[in-house]
Amino acid sequence: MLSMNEKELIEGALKGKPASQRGLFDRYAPTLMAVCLRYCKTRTEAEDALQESFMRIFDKLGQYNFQGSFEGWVRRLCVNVCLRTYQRKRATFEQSGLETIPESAMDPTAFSRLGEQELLDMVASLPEGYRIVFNLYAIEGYSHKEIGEALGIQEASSRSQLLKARKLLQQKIKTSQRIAI
Amino acid sequence: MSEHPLDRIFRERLASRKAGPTDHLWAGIAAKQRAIRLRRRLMYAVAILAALCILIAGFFMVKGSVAIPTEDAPTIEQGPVSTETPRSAPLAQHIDVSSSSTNDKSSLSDDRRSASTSLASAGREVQIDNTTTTLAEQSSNLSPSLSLPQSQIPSQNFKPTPTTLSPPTPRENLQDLTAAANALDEDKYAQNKIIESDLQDIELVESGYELSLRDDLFESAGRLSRSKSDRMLIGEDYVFSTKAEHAIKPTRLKNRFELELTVGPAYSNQILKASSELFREDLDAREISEFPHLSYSGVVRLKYRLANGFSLTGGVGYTAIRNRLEYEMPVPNEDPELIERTNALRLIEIPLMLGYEFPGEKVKLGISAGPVVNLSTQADGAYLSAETQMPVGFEEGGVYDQNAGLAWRFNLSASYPLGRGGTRLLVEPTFSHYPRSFTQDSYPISERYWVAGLQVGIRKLLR
Repeated sequence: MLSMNEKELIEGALKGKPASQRGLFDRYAPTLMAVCLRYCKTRTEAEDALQESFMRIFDKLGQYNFQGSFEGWVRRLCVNVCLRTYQRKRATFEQSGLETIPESAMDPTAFSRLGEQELLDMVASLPEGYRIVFNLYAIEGYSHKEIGEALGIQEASSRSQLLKARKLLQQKIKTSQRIAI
Repeated sequence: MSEHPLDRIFRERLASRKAGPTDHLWAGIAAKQRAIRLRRRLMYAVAILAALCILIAGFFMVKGSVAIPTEDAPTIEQGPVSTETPRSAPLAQHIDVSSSSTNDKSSLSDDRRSASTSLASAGREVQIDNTTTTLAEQSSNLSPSLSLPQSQIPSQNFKPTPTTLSPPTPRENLQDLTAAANALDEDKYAQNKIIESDLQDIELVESGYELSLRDDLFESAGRLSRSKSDRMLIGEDYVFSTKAEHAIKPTRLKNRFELELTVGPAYSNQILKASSELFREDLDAREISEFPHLSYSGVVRLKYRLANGFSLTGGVGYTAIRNRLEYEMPVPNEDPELIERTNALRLIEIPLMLGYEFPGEKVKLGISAGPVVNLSTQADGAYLSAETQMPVGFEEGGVYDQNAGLAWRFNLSASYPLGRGGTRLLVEPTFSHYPRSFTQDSYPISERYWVAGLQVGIRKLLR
């Protein structure tokens, strides 16, 4: 359900009012910036993606029918922009030869010692293909079928990328623990 | 399916995370939004103007071509009519134009061409009877003039008597005169076409009508020219007649050139692109600091009319592509001051256009397209440096090329006659695309444009 203030902002932005557009930016930019940072390798890339996301949001605002979460709508639009940016850059998924690394059980307490920024840095350090699939599956909740459609890859490839991303993250967490000890 | 613990931890920690974007990000978005709003407004304005041009043209076309219906259209008959015939009764008119030698302008030639037009009062069924010889056949050796049978030619001192017949309104008589005018035009005569637009104006002269034919009908678009005067007298009996000294003789097309002069405002859309991601910041600095400004252009063209409505046009044009540069100048102990200045790219160009003008009434619509050769480009202004956030003059940076290469232009045009001297008012929506970058290859940001504008000017038939 939209708050009155949010609805007014959307209606104002629909009419092209700069103040309303600025209001929407102030409200949603932090959330969307965090989304972009997870999908992009650098902060500069993330800001480019965020800028393009808002351009698309203002352009497509007429398609939002005031039903459902506006945050969910802008977030999905932002993810799509990030995916499109990624697809433009992608030639092939990066391979890192991790197929032989066994997926080992993790100490559940290992995560509790890690801060948000460290987790984010770990995700950001993943090869681009792994990072995208891990973000879409683990955080956004996409299915492998949806990921396959969004990225133009097979479902099996999506599963494979996810497994490799998890292995890499586990490896990074272990390394981080060793350094901490 | 149970969620993988790793996925759950990352989702819980990162899904609702927020991060602040840098301060200048909104400035970039706002700048792009301003440009979009400006572009939309201009597009609406151009669309409205184009629609108005089409509506006006359509109005004149419809106005000029719709026949007035009548309930009791009479039988069409040839032959002169009595001057006693009242306009309210079915009226048959005989329009007879014959050719004869210029040595004997007042005599009636045997090889005459007659255009017989019988008209009902308002039913307006028009027939043109083409008889033995065409004008073209005669023109080579006779140098003929068109004249009337002696009996039908008014004397030099011809003064229609108002009492013999109450004159019809100019509008009613227009089609009669149209038929007569068409009888004089070889092509249209052969095609049996009645085109009212060939008559530019009708003035009531006592009980007769003085008819003025549009100049370019005879002297450019058509096949005939008038020897002395552009006026012919329509007598009280509605017989289309010419005075001897106003005789019309067939000739070949002589004046094919028209001079056009147009000026007008334009909107220039700047397209910046970085040669690589390394120059992203330079690109951003320019995109957030440069905005479209009112541009303008003007051109002097010479148009050469080919057959069937086609034409070739060449000329010299000047285009000023302008942008507004905005940046903040730091002021000690105060808020920074917003500085605005105008950047301009000044182009001297040669347009080479192939055009086509649709047949029409007073308002004529046309299209033309072709390359525009850039003779010289001069850039004045500055751009914002990403490093210092201060302006750098174009001349310091070695940014712009001296020549922008080839552009492509597309014009729509609508013209309307101004008076009787072969001058027309010209309104011309125009669109140009400059596919080559205005910047030098060594400069990492390419700069291209498309320009949309509305030109207004005049077109003058050269004699």
